Order: sequence, then C-alpha cells, then structure tokens
Amino acid sequence: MRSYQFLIFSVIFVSFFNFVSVLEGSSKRYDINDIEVPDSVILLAEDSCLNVNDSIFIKKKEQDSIEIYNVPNFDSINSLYNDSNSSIKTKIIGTIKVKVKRLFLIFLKIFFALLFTSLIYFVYIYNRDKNQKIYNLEQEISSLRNQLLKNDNQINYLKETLENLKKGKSPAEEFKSIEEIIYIRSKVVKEIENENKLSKEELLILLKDCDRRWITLGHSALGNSHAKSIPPIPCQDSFHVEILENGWILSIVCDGAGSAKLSHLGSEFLARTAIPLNLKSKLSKLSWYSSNHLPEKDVWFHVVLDVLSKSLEDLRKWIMESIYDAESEKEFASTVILSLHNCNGVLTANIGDGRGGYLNNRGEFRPLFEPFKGDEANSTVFITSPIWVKPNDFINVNVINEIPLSVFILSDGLEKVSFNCSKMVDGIWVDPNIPYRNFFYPILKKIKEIPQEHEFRLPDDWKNLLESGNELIKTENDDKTMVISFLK
Amino acid sequence: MFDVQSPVNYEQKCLCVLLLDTSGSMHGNPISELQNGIEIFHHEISGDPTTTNRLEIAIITFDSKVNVLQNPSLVSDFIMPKLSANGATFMGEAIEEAISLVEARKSWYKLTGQPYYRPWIIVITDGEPTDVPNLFDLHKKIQEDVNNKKYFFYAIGVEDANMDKLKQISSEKMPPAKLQGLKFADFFKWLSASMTQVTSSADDSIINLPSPADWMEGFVIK
Repeated sequence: MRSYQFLIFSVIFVSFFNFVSVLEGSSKRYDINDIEVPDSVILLAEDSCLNVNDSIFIKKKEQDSIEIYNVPNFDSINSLYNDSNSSIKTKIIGTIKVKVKRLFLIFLKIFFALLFTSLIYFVYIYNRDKNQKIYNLEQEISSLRNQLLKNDNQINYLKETLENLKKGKSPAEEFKSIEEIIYIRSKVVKEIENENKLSKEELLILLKDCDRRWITLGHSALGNSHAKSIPPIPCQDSFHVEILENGWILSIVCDGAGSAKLSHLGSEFLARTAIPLNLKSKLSKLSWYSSNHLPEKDVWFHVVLDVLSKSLEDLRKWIMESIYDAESEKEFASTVILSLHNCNGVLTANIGDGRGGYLNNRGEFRPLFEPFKGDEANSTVFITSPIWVKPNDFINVNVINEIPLSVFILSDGLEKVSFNCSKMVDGIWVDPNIPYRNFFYPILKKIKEIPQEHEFRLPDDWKNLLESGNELIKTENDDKTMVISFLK
Repeated sequence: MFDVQSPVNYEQKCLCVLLLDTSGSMHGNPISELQNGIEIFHHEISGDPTTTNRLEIAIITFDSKVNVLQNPSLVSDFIMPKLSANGATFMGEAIEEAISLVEARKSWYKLTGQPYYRPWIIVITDGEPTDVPNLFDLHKKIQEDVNNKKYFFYAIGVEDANMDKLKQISSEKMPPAKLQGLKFADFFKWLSASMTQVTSSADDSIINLPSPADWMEGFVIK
C-alpha cells in the first residue's frame, strides 16, 4: 500500500517538473545549421541554473565544421573579439538551450522532486500513523469504558439477585401481568401491616391507666433546601390544632406549593383562619356533631365541600384586600389535610398530598387517607387548582368508625421518615401507606410515660424531633409538619 | 427528646442527562473548567443524602461523534469521566440520543410502576449544531415534548456559542441561557440546588428554580 502510494506521488511530481522544463526549452531553440554564421557566434545559455556568463563560443572554421569553445565570461569574449583591431567579426544572434546541460537539469529536477516527494510523503505517513494511533487508543478507551459500564450493570444485577436469593426471593422478572402486580402489592401491604402491628405488651403499655385525656402536639419545621436557598424560602407549611366542645379535636395541616411564591401565606390563612372558622360555624348547626356521633360519609363530604369552597372564597377575598401583588391565586396554592376526631372515631378530608394515620385499639397502624399523586413523583393538586368542576375526584373524605388511640397528620416532607410509603419488591414499586411503628411507638410511649407535671416539656421535645430528630429528618429538604394526638 | 427510627423507603428517581460539547473549540480552559464543574456537581449532590438516592445522572458528549460516557446512574455508582476536546459539533445527533435515553429510562420506571420526577436534558455548548440541516424539525420535537411534560430541555451557551441557534432549538418555556465567562462551577452548584428544589411538591404549570444570578449572563433580579 505504501510503495504504491509513493509511486503515484513520485510520478505526479516528476511529470510536473518535466512538463515545466519542456515548456521552457521549446520557447527559443535554434539549430546551429540554420544559423547563418559569420565568422563566429556567441550563444548564450539561458538556463537559469547556469550562470548567464557561461556561454559557448562557436567559431566557424570551414564550411561544414565549427569549433566549440567554452567561454567562462561573456565580457572576456567581447574584449577578445570585439576589439577593433581584430579581424574576426562576432555576432550575438540569440540564445539557445544547451541539450547536455538541460538533461543534467532534468535529472537534477527529478532528484529534487523525488527528495521533495519523499519529504512530503514521510511527513504525511508520520501524521497519518500518529492520528491512527490516537484514534485506536480512543477507540480502546471508549470500548474499555463501555465494558466497565456493562460490568457495573452486571455487578448490580448480580448483587440484586444475590440479595433476593438470600431473602429467599426469586430474581425479578422482566415483565409482570397486572394480576401479578396487584397480587405483589397486596402481599407487600399485608406483610408491612403485620410488621408494623404492636405486640400485646406494647399495646398494654399504651392502654394502661387511661385517663382519657387527649394530648396533641404540632409543629412546622423549615426544610433544609428552603433554609439553604438564596434568598431563603420561608416555611410553606402551616398547621392548626383546636380543642372543640364535646371532646372533638380539630387538626389541620396545609402545605404551600413549592412552586408558588406566596404559598406560605396561603397555607397560613387557610389553616389558621379560613378553614377553622368555616368548619366551626358549619358544625355548630349539626346534630351529629353536638351529639358526639360520626356522620355518614356522604353527609361528611357535603360538610367538607361546603367548608372548603367557602374557605377558598375567603382566600380570594383576602388576596384582593391584601397588599400582596399577586398575579393569580395560584401563587397562594396549598394542600389541605383536616382531621376531626374524638374517642369514637376519626373524620378526615384532604386535597393533595401529605399523609395521615391512626393507631386503633388492636395495636394496628392504619392510614387515614390516600394522598393524591399526579403523573409525576412530585405533582399534586392544591385547593386553588381546577378541581372544583369535579370535586368528588379531588376532595377525599373518610369516616373511620374505630376507637383511635392516636391520630396524626403530616405534610409530605415527613412521609419518608415516618411512613412505609415507597418500596421496591420483586421489581415492582409499592406504596403501602402504613405508618412506621418504630417511628410512632417510641413517641406514644414517651407521651404515655412522662409524668403529668413534666408534660409542659413535650412541645419542645416535639419541635426538636421535627427539626432534627434523626439524620433523615435533619437533612430533609422539604418543610416538615406533623400534628399528633394521643389518648393518654 | 423522642427517640425515633425511620423506615427504609425507596427514593423515587429524577433523571438528569448532561449533554456536553467536547468539540475542538472547547479545547484548553473551557474543557478543564467544565470537567471541574462536573466534579463540583458530583460533590454537591453527594452532600445531600436524599438527592444522592434520587438523582440519576447520564452523561453524553458530542464532538465528531456522540459518546454515552455514563448511563443513568446514582452518584454513588458514578464513574467520573475524563473530558477531552476535539472535532466537530454533532449536537443534533446527541440530542436525539439523549431523548431516546430518557424514553428508555422512563419505560423502565413505568415497568416497575414507580412514580418519577420529570427528567432533565441539559445541553452545554460553545458552538452550534454542525450536523442539523433543518433546525426547525428539532425545535418542533423539543417544543412538543416539553409542552407534553416529557422532559425539561435547557441549553447553556458558553463563550462564542450561537445563542440564536440555541434559541431556535429550545422550547419557548425555557429559553437558552448564556454562561458568564467560564463559571461552570457556579452553574453546577445552581443545577444541584435546582435538582433539590424541583423535586418538592409542585403545581405542574410553574417551574420555580433558584436564582441563576451567579452564573447567567444578563440575568437581573427583579
């Protein structure tokens, strides 16, 4: 391949140089026989590689023969033969190419052409080899990198399989039918329900010497990313706790939308003002409320619908009258979680995400409601969202006819640390929505065991827990709010 | 003080595809600053336990060819790439590669039934695509996908980047931004903070990100 290329290069260069020589030579060429020679002529060599003064002196001797001399210097010829005393007449008739010298020149040109060609060729070969080496190395690096990635994936896959085998599970299948998925999910939920059930002894500790007093604690803590943000983002969560007549306890948690600028004001107005006022004025006219009974679900739904829609109207009025320069009510967007409970059961209502749970008198931790989740992991709806055309789809209510020992509602900032809410089992994702017993039981036990004269310390303990109770709580980026109520 | 334990919960995933220009014009300072920026990004993410388990990073570089340097993976499994610059700017092909990578990852999320955060595609370039004859088709595809909330698409121009062409491919909702000088470090710090913030509860229609004043050219706080 290389010698072939070299040959082509050489041929191209040599023919190029010779072509030039031929052109030059053909321009002025004289044949000596055609020249009418007087006594002598001087032919000047034209080729540039010869000195101009290197001329040839031709002297006519007889009719058919001439003498050729190499004359070193034109001036010397002039001085010799143009001497006025000399009888020899000299005439410069023109210039001719000297064949012998031209041949020599051609060889010289070929030589230089070859030299030049080789030089270019070797530079070219050198560069080409270098680039080829670089390319090869790059290819090798990229293939090794790919290999590394493949190996990593393989290691992860094997690790996962190993873990599953250790736990006695078969490796995850690629595709699962809907029935399989539903089966896996219900199995996981049952397992987690059982794992999170209190033992008889634990339950007895909580039930012992019950003086039927509800102790309710609430706090909102600023999320880590909100604190670190420049400018800082205020805590967008708000909560409200109120002990109503006949032993009813109202708790509200509102989580302002992370994407809305004034949502901290929206959540505060809804949780502290609008919803409690509207709910209380509505409840006071209802017989089930004053007689301490739980209503039917649809009755409760209409109460909630009325209270929340009135609260939204109040929010709108408040925005209009306020000094805040808001483009739309969406800037005040907030979720709503509401629970109203007494010793007979729990009534709940919610718009959007967050969690709620309770502990029943059999020691089972149960969810109060399903949070509303949008298409994406973090998307949800707010009271200001276009939910009012189809309120049944977005306003979620529950009536729980069970004796609760504890009721708790929380914003989504705390769901990961206190709820079993995201599990990957057999390659299927499950949200069991079961409160985590090792989070809640220690809290309830402590409230139970603390002497009444020290109960005043509980709010501070509660605050510390939500600010930095463990590493996960401490580093949580979202705002963290929880209201917990315990029947001591 | 209450002594509580927390359950082990699976962190829902947020995919971030970094499309990095490694064409010849990035040679020298730009590429080493970019490399430094990625290392800072990695460091910032590692400092946040939630984002560490949530963010899946993929890296695609483009010069005269498109290389997937890093398939989607958590920062703990991340292999830090060594960037070098030469060749042309095959940005169009790289964007297509990124889109198909996002689609593939999403279908895995769906297969397992897990909710996921909207993926991000971030293009960093100092030039313009040299392999796209018709920018309009690319723009149309990106515009449609962004409107359908398939992913966020954000183009970052560096130094002599052709901002007009970047604008032509970007969605109107997220116009391209110009990096001040070579402030990759500040950009990646911002990106890391954004990745934390976008994963909090949100109304679909509004994207609320931290202020890009530290790195964006011509950005004024209103």
